Amino acid sequence: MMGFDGMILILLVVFGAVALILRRKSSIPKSAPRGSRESRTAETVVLISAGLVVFLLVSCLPHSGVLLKLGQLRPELARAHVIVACCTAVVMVLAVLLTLSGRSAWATTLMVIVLCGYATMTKQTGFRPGPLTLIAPEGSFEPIVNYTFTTQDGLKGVEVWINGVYFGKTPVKITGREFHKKIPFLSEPPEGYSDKDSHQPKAHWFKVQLPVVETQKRGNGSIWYDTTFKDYFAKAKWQDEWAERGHGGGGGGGDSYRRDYGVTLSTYFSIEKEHRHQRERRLETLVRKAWLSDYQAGPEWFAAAASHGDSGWRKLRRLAERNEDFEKLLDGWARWKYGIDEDIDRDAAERVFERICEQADKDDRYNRNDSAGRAVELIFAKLDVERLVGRYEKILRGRGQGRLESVIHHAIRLWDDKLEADDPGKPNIVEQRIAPAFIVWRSNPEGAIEFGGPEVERYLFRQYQRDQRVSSEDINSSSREYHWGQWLNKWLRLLVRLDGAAGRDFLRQHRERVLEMGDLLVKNMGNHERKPPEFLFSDLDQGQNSMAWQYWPKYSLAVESSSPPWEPEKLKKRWAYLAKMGELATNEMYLDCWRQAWEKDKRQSSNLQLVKALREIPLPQRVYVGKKIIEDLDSIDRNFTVSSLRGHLVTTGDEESLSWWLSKLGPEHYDRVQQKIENNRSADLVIIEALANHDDPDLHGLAVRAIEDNLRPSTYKILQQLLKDPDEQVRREARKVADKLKAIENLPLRELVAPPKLGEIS
Amino acid sequence: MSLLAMLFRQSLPVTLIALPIGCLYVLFAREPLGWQNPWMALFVLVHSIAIAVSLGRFRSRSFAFLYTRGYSRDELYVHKLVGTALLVLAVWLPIALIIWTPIRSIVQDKLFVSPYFPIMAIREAAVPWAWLGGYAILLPLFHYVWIRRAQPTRGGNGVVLLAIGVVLAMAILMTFRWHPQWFRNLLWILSVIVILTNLIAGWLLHRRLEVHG
Repeated sequence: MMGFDGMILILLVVFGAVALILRRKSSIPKSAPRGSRESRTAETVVLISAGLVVFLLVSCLPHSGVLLKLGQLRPELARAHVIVACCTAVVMVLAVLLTLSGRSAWATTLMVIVLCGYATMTKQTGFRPGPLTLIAPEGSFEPIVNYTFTTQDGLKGVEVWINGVYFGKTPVKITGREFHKKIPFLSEPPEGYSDKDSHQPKAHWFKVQLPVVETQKRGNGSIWYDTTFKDYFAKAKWQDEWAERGHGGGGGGGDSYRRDYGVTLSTYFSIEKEHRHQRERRLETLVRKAWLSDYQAGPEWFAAAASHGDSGWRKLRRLAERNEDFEKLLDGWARWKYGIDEDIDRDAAERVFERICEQADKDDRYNRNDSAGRAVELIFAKLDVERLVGRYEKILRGRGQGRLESVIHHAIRLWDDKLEADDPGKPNIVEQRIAPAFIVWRSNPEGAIEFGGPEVERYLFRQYQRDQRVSSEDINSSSREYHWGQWLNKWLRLLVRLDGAAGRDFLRQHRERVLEMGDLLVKNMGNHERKPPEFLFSDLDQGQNSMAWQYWPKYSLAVESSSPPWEPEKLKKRWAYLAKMGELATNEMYLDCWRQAWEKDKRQSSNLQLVKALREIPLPQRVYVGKKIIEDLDSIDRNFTVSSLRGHLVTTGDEESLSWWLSKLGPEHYDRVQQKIENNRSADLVIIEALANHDDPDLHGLAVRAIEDNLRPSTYKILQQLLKDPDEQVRREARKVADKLKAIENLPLRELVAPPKLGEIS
Repeated sequence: MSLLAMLFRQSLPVTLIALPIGCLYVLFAREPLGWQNPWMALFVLVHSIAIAVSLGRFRSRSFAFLYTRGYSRDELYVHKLVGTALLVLAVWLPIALIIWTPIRSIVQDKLFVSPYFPIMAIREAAVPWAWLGGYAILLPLFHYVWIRRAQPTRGGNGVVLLAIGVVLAMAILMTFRWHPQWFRNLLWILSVIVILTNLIAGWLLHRRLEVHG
């Protein structure tokens, strides 16, 4: 490819040649008068217009020029740009004067030369400065770096020492140059940083990873600016207390001229610890209150939860992953926040939607997993889908509208799912208008595939028909993509992601090529883990004709060369593949994998990694396979692994394993109970029920403690049962827990509001 | 009317060559057409030059003949401009119609089984207007060039270089994909200024052009 300078040179040569030819062919004698006033004026206007367009293209447009962002540049560089622009402008004015005097040829030649020169002088490619270095000092090209040092909780006034030098009190704002002038870089930690026999830092010291812009020189003398992370060693003190431990890291970014990095010091002062604990305790109590009221929460509860911000929402989402009842609370939160009634009408829904759009635009933030996203899920069905589609089409035609686009995309996506569910297989308005718009206006088939539809299917299939090779470097550059170290047919990769009837037809008709691509992806050098591509599992309804079934022997063989090379890891991968096959995978297939590993390496296959691998297997098969493995291991007396395996099967609810485990439990083993529950949260009810109903009344006490630590409505019911336990000791303990829970129930919600941020109170 | 017909007849070879080339290209170009398509830009440029040359051969006998038939200079200038517009329309309109009616889309869809059609038809609909814009800027400029060169004054060659400079500026402009709104507005304003300047200056200078018998 011809470079920028080469292009400019060719332009000048061609222009010069034409000028010379014309000069020689001129038939007007030199004594003739110059052009009239009208011609001079017209030519001046044309020259100014053309010159101005090129000048502005070079100097002011976002990707090419810097004149509109001089404030972001170092003063020396900004000055250099202004000088070059002024000189160019002066020569352009000279050219205009020449035209006015009737010398258009000279004027145009001068204009072309000066604009070519201007473009060459100011062009910037990445971090490498151009010929502007001739008048701007080298250091002026270095991006301006700004650091802002804060603590994680925003604590103000924390004194910070870095590499042994006192640095200031948080929040500290400092430029990169000032920082490096003030703080020496140490390749080795300072004296006293680490213990003699340990690499761990001593008390009060911690490491801060700082993004640093470094000047690099090439052999040809050109320079560029590289960002690397460097270790600095810090200590922090607040009100005569050293931070117990901590760590720090920076992030952020910018462009070629300016970088803004925020550096967060995650310190551990007692006030911070107390603050975090208080916050967590209050949130936890809020959740307990919701449990005790059987997930019935009012505006006061939501207001208290909302005061915890993102952490409150995230906690509820995590709980909702295991317990669907929390979905009701998340819905309630979104309804409370955005004023969404159960029977919201269209106008009100439109207003809420606009509010969410405006907020997303203002904050430059939209996450479909937070309360705004939940609100969109609640109201989208009330929105006018045609209006929504029209609005999104308009956005796709333009240059995008940031976060507003994300909100509308989310609503459209939900509409697409709804229409598909209402009338499966029938092309809907989203598929007909939005999916093609992604291809037409954005050249983004990946975005179109998300919606699917006949237009997208036809587009992809026809693209694929142009070149049906699976993998080759010779595939047209617009039809190939680099994936895990090899060039693949981009259209084939996209076609296997289609989930409609056309996608299934394609998989059926082009099975050989799809399997060939799957094999390439599995055996690829970049895929050390031999992770199978998802599309292999997209036609499981075909039973033994499915791709996953047919590819299984090859996959099993390919895993042999996977990394890491030990047998339990290979077993885990094979079991994970079979698990993805769902009901197609039989118990015997799982067992075959185990026996294959067992045959190869009895020592490795019987270690504790085996228990981890077992978790890959779906629950019904896991018990069967687990018991068979126990039988095999029993024969060679691997007691420790057998115990672990049995222990694992307890959490699956297997009665035999549960009885075995309970028989080994005493009243002093509460830690074992809690550990078991923590290993598999969904098994808590099974374990607590078993403890509460066990013949040995000593274990009932364990159930009481487990209920206190794993409270939810179903376990709370068991507490009611234990309040009537024949054993007095158990009754007493149950009463104590019940009283504690009653106190939580009666606790005013205002006491559970998140404490003010440390940054606000200090 | 007869003058117009004569001017049209004079440029008939240009139209007869340009029309099939343009139509066939638009029908058979496999990739979606955009305003930055270099081949169509070249076509508009060459077609504009050909029209300007066919109507502005001021050293030719036919030119001298026409200018001695008793028409006023203004009458001739206006007729040349109208003739130019008709000549452009005679080529541009069929090309645009091929795009606007589903002809191109059908040919690409059915004959070439193109992946881009019919979905890309909506995007291509605006492209002929960009080509018309190209004609609108270039033709008044090229007419001005021959009128200026027919003046008995120095600097005639300079205007050729100026026209080349304008074409280069347009080519550079085409290589930049995204322009901010303020720059687009400025381009509109400058384009109108350049077009009007060339038309008015051409009209004034045309009154004084020298005809060699």
